[in-house]
Amino acid sequence: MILRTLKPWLFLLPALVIYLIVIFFPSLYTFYLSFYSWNGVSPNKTFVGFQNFTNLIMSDSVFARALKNNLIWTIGSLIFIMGIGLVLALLLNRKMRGRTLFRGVFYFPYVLSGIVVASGWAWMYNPTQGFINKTLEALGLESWTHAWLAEPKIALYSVFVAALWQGVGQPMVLFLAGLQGIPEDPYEAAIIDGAKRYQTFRYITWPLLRETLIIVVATTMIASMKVYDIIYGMTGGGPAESTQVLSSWMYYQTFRFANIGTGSAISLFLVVITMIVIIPYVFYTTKKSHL
Amino acid sequence: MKKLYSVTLMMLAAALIVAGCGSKSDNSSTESASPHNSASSSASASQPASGEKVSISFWTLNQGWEWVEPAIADFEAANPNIKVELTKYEVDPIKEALKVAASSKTLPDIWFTWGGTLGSFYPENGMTMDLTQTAKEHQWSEIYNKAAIDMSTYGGKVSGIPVHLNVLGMWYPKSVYEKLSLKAPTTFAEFESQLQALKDAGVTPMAFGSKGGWHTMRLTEQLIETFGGAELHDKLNSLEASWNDPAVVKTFEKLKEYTDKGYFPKGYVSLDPTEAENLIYTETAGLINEGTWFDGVIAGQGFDNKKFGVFKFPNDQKPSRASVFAEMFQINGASDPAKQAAAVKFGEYLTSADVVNKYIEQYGSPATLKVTLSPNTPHLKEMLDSANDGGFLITDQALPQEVAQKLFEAQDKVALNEWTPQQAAEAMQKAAEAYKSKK
Amino acid sequence: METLRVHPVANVLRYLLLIVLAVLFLVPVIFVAFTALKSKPELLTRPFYAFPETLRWDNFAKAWEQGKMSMYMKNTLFICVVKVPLGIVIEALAAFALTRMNFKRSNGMFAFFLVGMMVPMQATLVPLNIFLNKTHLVSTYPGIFLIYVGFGIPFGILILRGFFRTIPKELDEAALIDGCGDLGKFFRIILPLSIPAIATLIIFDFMATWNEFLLAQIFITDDTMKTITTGLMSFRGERATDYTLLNAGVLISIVPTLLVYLIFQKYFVSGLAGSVKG
Repeated sequence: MILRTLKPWLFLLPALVIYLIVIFFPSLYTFYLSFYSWNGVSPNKTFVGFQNFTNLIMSDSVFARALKNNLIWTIGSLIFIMGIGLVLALLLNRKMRGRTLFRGVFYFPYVLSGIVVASGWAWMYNPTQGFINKTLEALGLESWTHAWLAEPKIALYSVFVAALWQGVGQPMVLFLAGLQGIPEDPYEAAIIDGAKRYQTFRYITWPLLRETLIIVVATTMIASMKVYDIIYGMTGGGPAESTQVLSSWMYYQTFRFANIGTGSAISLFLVVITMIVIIPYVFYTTKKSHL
Repeated sequence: MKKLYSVTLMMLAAALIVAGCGSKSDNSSTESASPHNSASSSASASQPASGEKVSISFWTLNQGWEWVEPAIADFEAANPNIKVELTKYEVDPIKEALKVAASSKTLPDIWFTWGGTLGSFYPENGMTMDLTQTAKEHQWSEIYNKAAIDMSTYGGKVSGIPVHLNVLGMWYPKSVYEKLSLKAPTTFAEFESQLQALKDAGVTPMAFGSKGGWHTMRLTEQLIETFGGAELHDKLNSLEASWNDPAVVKTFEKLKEYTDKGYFPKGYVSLDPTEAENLIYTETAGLINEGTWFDGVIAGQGFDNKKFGVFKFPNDQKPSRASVFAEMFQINGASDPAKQAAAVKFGEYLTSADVVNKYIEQYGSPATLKVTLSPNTPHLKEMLDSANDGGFLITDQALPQEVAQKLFEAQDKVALNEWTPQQAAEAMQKAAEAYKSKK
Repeated sequence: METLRVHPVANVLRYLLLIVLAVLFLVPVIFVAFTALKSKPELLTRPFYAFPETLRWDNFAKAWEQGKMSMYMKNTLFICVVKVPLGIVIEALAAFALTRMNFKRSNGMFAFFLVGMMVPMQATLVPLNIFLNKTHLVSTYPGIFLIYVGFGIPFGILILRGFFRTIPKELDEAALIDGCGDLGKFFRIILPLSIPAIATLIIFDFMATWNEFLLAQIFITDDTMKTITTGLMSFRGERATDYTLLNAGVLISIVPTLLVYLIFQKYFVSGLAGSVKG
């Protein structure tokens, strides 16, 4: 009987121990620091209670901007990166000529390193010499040209397009794997029953993709809350801090300004916000699909 | 504790029982674990055997330091009892790695750092060795440029071995200036008239790429010097004077005026500095605000640096100061004395006139005196000389980092019409006060 | 799915759409290749999208030499080859416990692991550095495997748990009748049926480990152990970046990742065959 209750723990043990050492305890320490004012090295930490949090909310305009940018980024990712990933997976989930080639093309940007994507796209966006503006001029669309990364209103969206290009491969691969788990029988039955294509998608594919969808939504949201590399590489958070996100601002606070407390507070914000959204989502959807 | 131990044992025992089914599965689990074991044994085998040798760890940058490996080999050959363990980093990662190491008390024995507020962090928190005595005994005043020693001194203590002394100036393609019959300007009014002349000739007057803020900042600081004078400028940087000052407002007004007049490339606030530099290499822009390193950069990108000229920013002040900054080696104050002695020896060796002369083409702008400069860096001498009338510390090393970050934001917001020059000056003052109240 | 009849017009439309999308996706890739094949002055003086005047294939050799890529790639490959399977076994065991063992706190434990995905890595660096120093694991392979496996655990569990849950419970009962213990069930039934998920995880995990930068920078101080990202970073400097060699280096460095992708994406299909017929 003891063995029965212990056995799951046994299977969990390696993962749990490593997880506790590498992520959990270090994070606890960081959360503890978010209640202190500290430069990272001095022997005196000053306990300031919630002041780091209230300062961020009340008087840090960059933090507010970063939070808003993260939300925009998350919504954009859920609609476009995930949406296009799903469409590509559906298009490519069948025997057809060139399937591997197409899959490879759409996945390819995902394996490129962030700095190459950032520098390459920054050049594409160059206001005078870049491919995008030159193409628009060649098409007679001069009025559509912009200083894509230099106008605070559109800079974030310009970076997002680069991220979209780079990131679509991930949900596509996940959805492809998920689609493979769906057996053929229900489709055959449905076709015999005279179902239309969109109906088979709505009533067969979609429900059976639910587990994959949970994974993709969760990873997409988490990745968008933590987005950092590509923004830092393309705009450095500028112009005028208009493309700062929580992660980059945390980086500035921690490693540039040596405000460890403030940086830790931003980390805590990030974790809590993501948790509030994701954990209920994951459990709500898992409950419904319990087999 | 004992209980936990027995529980673990029991779990292990249980694992063996459970694993009973299917011998095949057992194999696959040991197979996947075995590479791990071999890895750990090979790693422990490669641990250095401890001997009488002193081993010192040294962190520096990757680019521009290609010469350091042969120099270390020479040093080790001359000092067989010292071993140098080198780790190289990119710019942001070394700042990050040093901060993480400082927080966890694992700094290397000797490391490279920039001066000003970037390098002050370590001495101010008591993490560096006090080199004042060493400097006196080894007569550093004879070896290193005085300005560089001063900039490596914090709170009266010499805290670093000077490596580089960098001076900034305005670079221009000679062809562009010749075509318009322009000469290096000597007054601010002349400088401004040249900007317009360049613009009228269809040339981008100033090739700024201000992603990261530096290009604009290097103009901002000279404008403050021009309008406010040296004394006010120094007080602004030390946060002793209010940033809400007419000279600051006027500076921001100029930034806005130049932006509106199209003196900068389109979209310059987000342009990568390298993209802006292209305009100089291709001789399609008038000016760029770069430093003593720029000879090397031009040559490194495959262009001829003799085709370019440089002048000191004409700020109408007497004496006219240039923007300068130093780079140094700091030594870990917590390392044991034998390591510290070895680190001092090593740091002094790398910055000695002999080594600098040997690698002068890659070394950069030396803080060491009595070196022979290379003909391949034709502007280095005149730029170093231009700082003889005095210099002020470059803004992003003079201001606390978070105030400097606010300045970058303010520059952008003025250029983008989000703030008036007055608002920008007020925001700067607010950031300065917020920083001071924290201390 | 392949048995479904497809309308020929729909098929043409599908191809058209895919080709348009593929071309759009390839445009930036082509520029990466162009950049890798230009000389430095040409890159800076001619438009970014211009075809190289002369194809500088020697950039690849230069990048290989200057970036010491053979050493860095070997180091990275070693880390990946150990870390990826090791991590997956550990994650799969945990995911198995969460889905197939009537574990009472399954959801709570899963949420606990999930939180780990949300923690920004930077927030853990200082305590981790203290820990690794106290245990003398900085710049050792066991230390590297420990943190790499650690940061992979939440994502691995998320993926594997999701896929394990789609495997019908009836199969477990069949295994029980065959007299298999939990470990037998794990290796003989669940793992083979999860090949698409495992293949997915291998693809992502390999890539993430291959491209990992932050942890490698902080926790590998021994130059002979550093990873490929470090080699690529050596083309980036304070005042100038060698974009031609950087792009050439990147193109070389992604070959293993692409190979892993091409090999393992095939298992999406065979994995399905196994689950239906097995």
